[in-house]
Amino acid sequence: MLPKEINLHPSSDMLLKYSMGNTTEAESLIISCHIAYCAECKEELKKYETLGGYYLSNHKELSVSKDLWKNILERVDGLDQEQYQANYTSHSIKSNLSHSDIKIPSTLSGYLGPDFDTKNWKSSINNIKYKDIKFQDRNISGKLLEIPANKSMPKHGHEALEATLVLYGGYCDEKGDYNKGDLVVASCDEVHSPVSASSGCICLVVYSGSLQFKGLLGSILNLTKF
Amino acid sequence: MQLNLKSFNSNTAMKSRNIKADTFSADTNDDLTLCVELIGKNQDKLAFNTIFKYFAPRLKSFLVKAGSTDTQAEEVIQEVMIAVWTKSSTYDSNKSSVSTWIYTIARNKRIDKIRKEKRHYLSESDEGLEIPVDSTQEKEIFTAQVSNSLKKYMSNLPEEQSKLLKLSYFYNKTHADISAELKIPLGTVKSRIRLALTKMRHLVEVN
Repeated sequence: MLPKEINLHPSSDMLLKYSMGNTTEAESLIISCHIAYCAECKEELKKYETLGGYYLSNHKELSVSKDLWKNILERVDGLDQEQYQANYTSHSIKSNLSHSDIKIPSTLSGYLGPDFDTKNWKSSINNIKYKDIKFQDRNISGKLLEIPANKSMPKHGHEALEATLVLYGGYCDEKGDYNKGDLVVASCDEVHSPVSASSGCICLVVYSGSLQFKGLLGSILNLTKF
Repeated sequence: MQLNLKSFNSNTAMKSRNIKADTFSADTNDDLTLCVELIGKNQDKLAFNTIFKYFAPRLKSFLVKAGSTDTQAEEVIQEVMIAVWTKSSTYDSNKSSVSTWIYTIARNKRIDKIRKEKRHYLSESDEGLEIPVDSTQEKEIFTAQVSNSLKKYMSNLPEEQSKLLKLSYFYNKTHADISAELKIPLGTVKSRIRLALTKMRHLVEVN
């Protein structure tokens, strides 16, 4: 069976900002994770990076200090070529939801520390497991959630920014189904009552503010204190 | 730009010709590609210097315009050049032009300086995560094709939109700052950027 199609993507505006290195840390993380699953956005990104190269190559010049070249030569002295190796590190997490480990994007694994087994994550209601993701900007937070199969969360709706990326399985609400790779941005004026898929769901959620939440995380947060 | 590199004991047959600023001209592109290949194969310092002379002043000008101090800009340039030196053998001219390759290195090094830690751009090991696209939709994109369609897009884009696109994304200026700097109403800034983006999106889809 073919995997389900990705329906929800970052906007061109966000991808262009990302390609130029101008998204925030949390945005960069969730966009890079989406791109890991999405060939379409990977292709779009490549074009924006080409635009960056075009701007750079056509850029006016500013003279550099006299010592710069000398300093660079000193630093490369003795440095060898790094040979290209397909020396892939396995970025995966152990989860109750799958017999085999679940692969995650490399950019996310850097945030996990030693917690690659969801058994060691914190516990919340409905047997939901979660792992906090910390960013330099303390106004933005992230969580990795592992939600067992077919769990429904109560209806809720609040104001705050919240973006969810599905890494495994999926969930649905009144507006649709969300599957692996989908980037779901919750808008402020909607009410959701999400239900996890029959395979369960592992997702990355980033959110700002410390008040109230909506979307997938909101329904969990409203019932429990993390 | 004159090359004066006799002090480097280069054993390559590379012509030390001037590399002009007319980007995406086949000659410039070929010269830069050749240079990176020579660095990768022979650690050729003449070629390395050519890359430095072409990119360092452009990178500096860009980084300063995007908000770095002179010192910060030159620190980033050092990191970029060291990456060029050590990673040239991994450069693949089918995947990107040298300008794009160096641009992405500079972008990553600039962010490393700000965040001093985690990577936010994917590694080769992420290839396996991708959800396969239906084969009829699968498109082979060649570097030259992308460059050509981009060049066409840029030359057809009205000056007023082109300028705002660059200020907004390349230099990361806010719409309010652009509005103040160019003395254009905020609404006009937004609508022009939106127009430029729509055309860009179209370019993406056409390919």
